[in-house]
Order: sequence, then C-alpha cells, then structure tokens
Amino acid sequence: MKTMKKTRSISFDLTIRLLLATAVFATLTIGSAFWVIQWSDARHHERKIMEYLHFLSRNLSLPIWNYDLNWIRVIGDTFARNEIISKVEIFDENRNVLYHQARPLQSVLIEKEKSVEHNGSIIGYVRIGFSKGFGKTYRRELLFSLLILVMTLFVLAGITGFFLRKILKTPLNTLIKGMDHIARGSYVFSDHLSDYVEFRKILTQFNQMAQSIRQREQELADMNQELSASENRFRTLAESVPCAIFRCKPDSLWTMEFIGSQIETISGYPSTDFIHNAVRSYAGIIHPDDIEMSDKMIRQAIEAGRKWVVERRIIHRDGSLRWVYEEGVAIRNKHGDVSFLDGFILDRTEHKQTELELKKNERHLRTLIETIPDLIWLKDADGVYLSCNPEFERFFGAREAEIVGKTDYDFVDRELADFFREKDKAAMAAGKPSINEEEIIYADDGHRALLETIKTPLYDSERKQVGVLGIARDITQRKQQEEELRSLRNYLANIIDSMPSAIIGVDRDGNVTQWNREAARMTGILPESAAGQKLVTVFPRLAVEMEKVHEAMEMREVRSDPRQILREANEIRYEDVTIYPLKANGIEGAVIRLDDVTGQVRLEEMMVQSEKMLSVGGLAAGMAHEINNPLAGMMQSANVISNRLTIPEHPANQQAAEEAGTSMKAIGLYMEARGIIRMLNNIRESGSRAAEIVSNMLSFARKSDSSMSSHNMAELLDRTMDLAATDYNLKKKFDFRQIEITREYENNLPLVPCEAGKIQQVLLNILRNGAEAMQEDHEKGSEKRPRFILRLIYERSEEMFRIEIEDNGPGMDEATTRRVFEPFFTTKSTNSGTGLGLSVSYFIITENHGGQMSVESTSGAGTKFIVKLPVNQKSRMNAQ
Amino acid sequence: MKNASTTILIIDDEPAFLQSMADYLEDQGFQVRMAQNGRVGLEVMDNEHQ
Repeated sequence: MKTMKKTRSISFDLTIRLLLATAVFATLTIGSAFWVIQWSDARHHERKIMEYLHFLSRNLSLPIWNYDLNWIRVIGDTFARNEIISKVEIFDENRNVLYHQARPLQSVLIEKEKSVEHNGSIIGYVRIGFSKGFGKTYRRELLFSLLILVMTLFVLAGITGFFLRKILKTPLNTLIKGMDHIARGSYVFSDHLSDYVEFRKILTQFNQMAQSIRQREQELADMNQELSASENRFRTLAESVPCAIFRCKPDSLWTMEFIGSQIETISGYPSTDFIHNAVRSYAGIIHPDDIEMSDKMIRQAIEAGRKWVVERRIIHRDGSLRWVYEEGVAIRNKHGDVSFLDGFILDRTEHKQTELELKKNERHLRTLIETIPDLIWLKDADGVYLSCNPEFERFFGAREAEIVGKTDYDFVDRELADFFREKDKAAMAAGKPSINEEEIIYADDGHRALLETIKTPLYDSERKQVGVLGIARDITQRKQQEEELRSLRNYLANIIDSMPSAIIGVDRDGNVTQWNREAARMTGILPESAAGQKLVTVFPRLAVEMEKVHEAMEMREVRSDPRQILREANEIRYEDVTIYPLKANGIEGAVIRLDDVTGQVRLEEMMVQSEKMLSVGGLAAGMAHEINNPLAGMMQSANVISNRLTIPEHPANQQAAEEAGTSMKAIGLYMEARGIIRMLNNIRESGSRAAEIVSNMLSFARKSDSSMSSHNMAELLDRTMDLAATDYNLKKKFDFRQIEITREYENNLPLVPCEAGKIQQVLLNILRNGAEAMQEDHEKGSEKRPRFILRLIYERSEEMFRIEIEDNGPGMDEATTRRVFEPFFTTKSTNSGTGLGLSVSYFIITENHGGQMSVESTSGAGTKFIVKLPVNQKSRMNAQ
Repeated sequence: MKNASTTILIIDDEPAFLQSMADYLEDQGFQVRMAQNGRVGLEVMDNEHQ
C-alpha cells in the first residue's frame, strides 16, 4: 500500500526554498562580515595595547628602578583614565604589586603583559586589560546595513515565487491532464500547452512518447497473447507427460519455481506444497541416505556443463520409499551463473524393483554357476568358447578371459580335442542332450578325473542351433563308490545265498523283493522269476503267514512261528518261520526267514529221550540191586526147603523125621498129596524169572569193555539170523524161513570192536520183535509177505558202523515209537514179554558200546531199527 | 559127614539171604557161622580160633 504524501505545490515550495536560500545567504554574509570585523578589531586592539604597553614600560623604567611609588601611581592613574582600558597592574621584579587599578563590572576583553627593563635587566612587569565596550558603536552600524540587505532579499524571493507560480501552473496542469489521458489509454493529446518554447519541446516529446507507448502497448498485447498461448501449450504438455517437470533454484533445498502436478502422484504431496517451498522442500523428502551423494553428482555434472542424471529414493507421503529418476540441465544467465535447474522427475519404483530383482537373479545365477563344483562351459557352433566357470578354468589351467574365443585344440591334445568336438557335433546332430563319460587330466594340478559330461545343443529364438552347453561332473568317486557298492552288494548277496535258511524279502504289498538260493531250492523258482511276484503265488504255503507278515510290518516287531510241521512224502520236517519288519531308508517291508530245524528237533527229541533213558536206566539198575539180594534169599530158602523135604537119604532129614515121630516117606507122601513140591517149584521158577529180569536190569548201568574184540559184523549178523530162526522155531512155532531176507551190505566193511554176545543179544531182540510184529500182522490177515531188509553201512565221515534192520510189519505210531526203548514198555500181551528186551538192547549199544540206537517207524508201513557203533576207539570215546 | 570138620563163615547184610544160605550149607554138612557185616565177621572168627 502506498503511503499518502502531503500535497505540496511547486510555487509554495519554490517560494519557501527561495526564502530559505536568501536567509542562509544573508546569515552567511552577515556572519562573515561580523567575523571580519571582529578579526580586524582584535588586530587593532592588540596593536593598540602593545603600543600602550611599550609606552608604559618606557615611562615606568625609571620610577621602578627608583622604586618611586607615587610616580608609578601617577603614571598608572593616567592610563587608567582611558575608557577603553579596564585594568592596569604594575609589579616589581619579584611580582610584588606596585600598582593596581581595575574598573569594576567591566569584563576584560584582552589582557597583555610586558617586562620593564632598565639598562638591559628586567626590573618589573606591567599588565594592561582592555574592556569590551571598545568598538561597539561601530558594529551596530554594520548590523543595520546588513538587515536592510536581508530584507531586500526576502522581498525579491517572494516576488520571484509569485511569478514562477504564475508562469508554470497552467502548462503543468495541461500536462497533467494529458498524462491522465494517456493513463486512461487515450493517446490523442492537445497540441497547445504554452507559448513558451521550453513547453513546446516538452509537448513534442510528450506526444512522441505517447505514440511510442501506444505502439509498444500494441506489441506487448500481441506478445502477451502469443505467450499465453504458448504457456497454455507448455502447461498442457507439462501436465500430460508421465513425469513431473520442474524448474528450481540451484540451492540446497531445490526450491521449486515450478513443478508439474505429477509430483503428487509420485510423492503424495500436491505440487503447490513445493513451489517456493510453500509447505515443504523437495530436498526434504529425499531419502537422507541418498541426498548427499546424489546432490554431489548433480553439482559435479553442472560444473562440468553436462546434463545431470540421478536415481535416488524419496519418502512418499504414505511413508513408503520410491525410486525416482531425475534428469535435468542447468540454465545459466549471460554471466554464466546458474540461475535455474530445469528437469524432470520420473517414478521408477517399479522399474527399479524389477531391475534390482533382475540384478539379484543375475547375481544368484552367476554365483550358482561359479560355485557349482561341476564344469560348465558354452561353445558356439564352431567349437569356439563363449563362456566357462571357474571349475572349467581349472581343467584348462587358464582364465576365462584366455579361454573365450579359443577352441579345444588350443588347450588339449589333438586326439582329445577331436573327441570333444565329435561329442559336440553329436549333441547338435541329435538335437538333444547327449551324455558321455571321459577321463581327463586337470591342467592346474594334474589330477585325473572321470567326468560325466552332458552336452546340450543351444538354440536362439528362431530355433537355430547356436552352440553347445556343456556340463561335466567329476564322477571318479561315484564310480569308486558304485564299484564298492556293487562288490558289497555281491558280498551281501553271497552271504544271504550261502545261508542254509530261506530268506525272502517282501514289500508292503506282499511282493517278493529278495529271494535267496535256499528259497529258490525249496520252491524250484529262480530269484529272477520270483522277484516282484506275490509271495503267495510263488510260495503258497506261506499264505498262512501273511497275516503275521502284515502284523510285523504294522507293529514293527519281530514275529515268529517256531516248529511248523511240514509233511513231505513220507517224512515229517520242522521249520521255524521268523518275520522281521524292515524299516530302513524309508523302505517298508518284511524279511521272512525259513529255517529247516528238522535235524535240531530230532536231536532235541533224542536228547530228551536219552536223558529219560539214562534216568530210567539208573533207577532200574539201583532197584535191581536192591531186589537181587532178598530174591536170592527167597530162592535159596526154597531150594533148602525142597532139599529138606525131598531127599530122604539125608541123615539130618531122617533124624529130624524120626525125632518128630514120622518118616521121610510119610512126609513125601503128604507133600505129594498137597502139591507142595509143585508149589516149591513154582516159587523157584518165579524167583528165577525175577532174577533174570533183575540181571537184565543190572546191565542197564553196567559199563564194561572187558570182553571187547573186533568182529566182522556181516558174519555176526548172519549168525544171529540163524540163531533167531532156531530160537523162534522152538518157542513160537513160527516158521522163520517164511520171512524173506534182503541183505544190502556194503563192500569192504571194517571190523567193529564190540562184545559179540551182547551185540548178538541186541540183534536177536530186534529180529524177534520184528518177526513177532510181522507174525501178528500176518495173523490179522495182512497179505504182505514178511520181509526183513538188513543193511550194513560204514559212515566214513563219522567213523560209525551203521546196522539197519527194516521190517514191513504193522509199524508203530509216533507215541509208541517215542517210548519203544523205555523199560517195561510193551505193546505185547502181558504174558508174552518183559518189556525189557529193547531197553536192554538200547543200553547195550549206548552205554556199553558208546553207540547210538534209534527207530524210525510209520504206522502201517513197517519199522526200521538203526544201530550205530563206533569203528575205532577214538570215535567211540568221542561218541561217549 | 565128609564136610563136618569144615566151618564156613557167611557174611551178608541181607538176613533172609544169610539164613537161607546157612540152611543150605548146613544141609551139605558144613559147620556154618553167620555175620551181618565184616566187623561182626572178624569177631566171629576171633571167637572160633580161641
């Protein structure tokens, strides 16, 4: 807002100033005149006072010398009467006052002193003072004339002001009016202003000026119109580009002169915020980490006169970071100073993210290729290297830069290079990856390596082959491991195959995965045919085990089924089935093991049997010994009774009879009548039978080799056969000759050390039992012809002599077979055997001879007794 | 009796057997002495020779 100035008039001002100028001039004139008068007064006074002093000093010389005070006073008074002199003082040489005269109430204007001399020496001093009243009249006149002069000047000034006002006012008013016209846009102006020549000139100039103003105004209007159109154009352009165009000052805040509205999209703040830093500065939203570096770059570019380009982060209104790209140039004024920066800001966040992502991916890829322990390389179609990784560099012993642009022929010998090239071509010809193995030597440290190389043809976007990508892996160790694995697998397979058990592996679904040699032998199915088949198909009898197999897999526990009975042809076999769950390496399944334990079962049975026999034998022998003595007493007593009753010739008998009043004859008759002799005989017979049993039982425990000698077993057996024939004939009225005898004797049989009588007893026992059994069978109506098969076999491995006596009688059931050697066990009717025959035989063979005796029998199919005797002393000892 | 001057000492721990044997030998005309065990047998022999 304009402050209102006080209205002033030229004529008034002129008048005032003229008056002021006159006043100043008059004052100065008067002042200087006054000063000149003063100065000349002072000079005049000084001269006068000096004259007075000089005169006084001369006149006083003598009176002071004479110290004539009166005289001094007369001279002093004379001077003091002069009206301009206000003070007279006279002193002696010691400054003692000799005379003093001063007018009161008159100020001293000037005061001077002079020495009084006499004959050249100072004898006193004289001092005179002039009063102010001196020269006053003279000054008053001067002041008056000056006043008149000043008055005249004032009047002159007033008149001048009046005329000036008169002459200037009219044309000035006209001029003002004209200006008013111009101000209102009308440039037509009156051609009359004043008759004065000065105003004419002004008018002409003024009209010219109005003219040119009108012209310029027109031009400006045109220009403005153009500018506005242009600005519109640029504004539209600025608003429609996808970036924020700006112009800013080259200060640290980036103070915006202009910035496109797009900045709102980019930063979240409206563009008006930034213009002249109205709300915030652009520098204020730049990420603090970036600002220093990027501004430095911009300043460097500006200094170098280049356009500047930066990428930096800004903080968006929502707090997120945005990447912006800024590009611009410095605008310089004519002095070469930077006045503006013009440029644009582009949101590159997405682009930047993609770029960063890409860079990261590329870095990852590069790291991958460089850190991978495989050899990787790239060749063009002509076998020229395009790229390779560090591992490949080791192979060639050269840096990638040295390898690129060269071929295999530059690094390896011709033969190998040909080989590589041929494989490249093969891969390209096939149009698909080709794999081969090759043994190479690393150039860097000379170590050998077996490589598995994959060569893949490369295609450009037009499906044209442009080269070969090669990847090679060191498989030296893998090969070794494979080799080791293979031998280990073989070894394990051999172990599994050499097992006497059948080992069968199955997966969860019951399909065979493992099938060892024993399994193959048992089923007659080869491992190759069994693999993958259902277990129940290839091993039907294991169908019953499938439930347990599944159970084992579920529960992860071992399941077993011991002592499974297998009925083969005419033999019972035993088998242990064990099922182990498999859970190694995530492969689930089970292993089934089948063990043929027939031998073991038999052995166990036999051991039980022999244990039993041993205890029974021991018991029986002990019992026999205890029974033997009383039995002997009984029998002896029966004998004595018989003697005393039946021998009449005996004198003691006769004497006793006579003394009793009877005779031996009478006693004989009585006994005959009462059957006493028969009873006594009965006692004796029963006693001797019991004695026989007891004596047999005693042999259970007896061990004696006293009468051992070597015998030809064939002879012994044949002799026993004859004995049995007669014995049987006699006792049982059975024709032993009806029995067919088959002899299967091995040649060159060794002699057997034994007690011939005892062995004969054993053989006889067996033959008698067999014959009896066959007879019974025959009596029951069997059509079979009785038959014995006699076998004599020498088992060299065990050094045992084996005697087999097989009949084709009714046989025995299992229970009977098991108990056949027990003492007193018999199937015969109570009165036809003691039940000791076979047990005596058993003990003769086992206890006395250190051999083995067993029986095999199937009900309805006959019985086979097997006697094994050790052939030499050593084996006999072992057997025991 | 041809054997009358001969004395036989029988030692056995089985009384029935001892007695029956003694009976039998007496019938044969021997002088018989009996003992249940060896110590008694020795005592019997000592008595016989006194």
